[in-house]
Amino acid sequence: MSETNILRIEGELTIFRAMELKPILLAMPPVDVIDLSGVTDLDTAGVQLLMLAKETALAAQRDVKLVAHSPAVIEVFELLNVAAYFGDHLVMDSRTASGAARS
Amino acid sequence: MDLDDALETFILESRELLEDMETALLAIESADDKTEMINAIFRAGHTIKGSAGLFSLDHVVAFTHVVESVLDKVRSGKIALADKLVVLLLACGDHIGALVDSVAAGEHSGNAELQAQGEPLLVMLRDYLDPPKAAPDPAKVAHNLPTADTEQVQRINGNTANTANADHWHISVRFSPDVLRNGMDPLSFIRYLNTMGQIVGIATVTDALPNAEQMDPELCYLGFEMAFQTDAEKAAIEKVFEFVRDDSRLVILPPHSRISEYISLINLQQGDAARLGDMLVRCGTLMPQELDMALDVQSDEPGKPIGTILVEQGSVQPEVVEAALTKQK
Repeated sequence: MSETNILRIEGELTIFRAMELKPILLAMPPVDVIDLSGVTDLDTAGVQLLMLAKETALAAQRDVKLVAHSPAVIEVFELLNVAAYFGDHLVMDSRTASGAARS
Repeated sequence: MDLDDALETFILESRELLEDMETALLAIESADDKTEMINAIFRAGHTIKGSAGLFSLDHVVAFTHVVESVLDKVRSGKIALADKLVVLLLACGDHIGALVDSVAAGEHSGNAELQAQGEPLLVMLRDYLDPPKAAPDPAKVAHNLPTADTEQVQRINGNTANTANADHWHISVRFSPDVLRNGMDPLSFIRYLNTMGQIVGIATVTDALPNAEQMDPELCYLGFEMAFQTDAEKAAIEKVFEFVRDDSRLVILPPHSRISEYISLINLQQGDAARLGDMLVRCGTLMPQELDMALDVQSDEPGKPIGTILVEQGSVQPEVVEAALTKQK
């Protein structure tokens, strides 16, 4: 298996960079982990892109984990109550479930 | 209305309001009845803050928020509008005018010089404000969400009182796909609602998000269902969405609306109606029993246009239907 592919996003995750970031988030080989510690600003366009990355991965029987959420990201996730959206998918991820069954 | 038009409207409106504010401040000392003037002054601060919030002009919001807080105390009689405060408010009006001018000149985040000019005013304004009270504990508010009130449930089941138990407003909004391109962020509207009251529950609706190939990253696909606790009037809540109203699908249901109105809202959702129903439960607007009842009524009359049901039941506030159905044409 290939090693974990980590994407770190720096700066704004907003409409102003949406066109630039979409192909990066969906690049091949697929991103496994998105490091959000460097995100300074997140808007609706940014949230949608993270959701798209999640949905696209799940549709391909993969997963994308969001890690190291910056304060700007946490504020928006709490405002929109979407932490569970990303979290629920983590729980439902098949690899997590089979991993738990094996242990 | 695109961003430039909307922003221009904001700038013109702000300048007019600031003129009104200055006129009222200058005339107030000799006025017999100060109430109307105090209201005009308050309205100026309040409206500018609200509109600035919609454009994410955070520095304008931050400053006018403090001015508004002081004006609110004047309006409620907790602070007298003495000469010293009139002079301070005139200076604040000039400063807001300078902030608006800088926005008009293309500086959407202000500049260091303006910020430095605003600081001493803020210090003086804060002298008029009490130490800030602790914000309501969100956990406690959440606990105040509707619980199974036995009597209410029985009455609902008995079909004698077909209203929701929850005592908050419900706001359902689907912004125009172009809202982001027009320079407005739905998050700004949600943040602004939290200054008028408190969003006690929110569900972000992702159903419209297409697959990767079709997804245009500059279009808005997310919708929002919100349970909103506020003392504000309906018109005030509608005003929050003024700049996007024409292009958005907005439904605002007052507290204790009839169950039939929630049905109509659920029916507006394209695709999976049951999922939207669950979201209304999740954000605390409907109790599970109320949702069951709503869906039962719906299944009794399959395929019947919701408008017909609502008209038959005579249960709809016309503006709600108008707002809801405009976009459906």
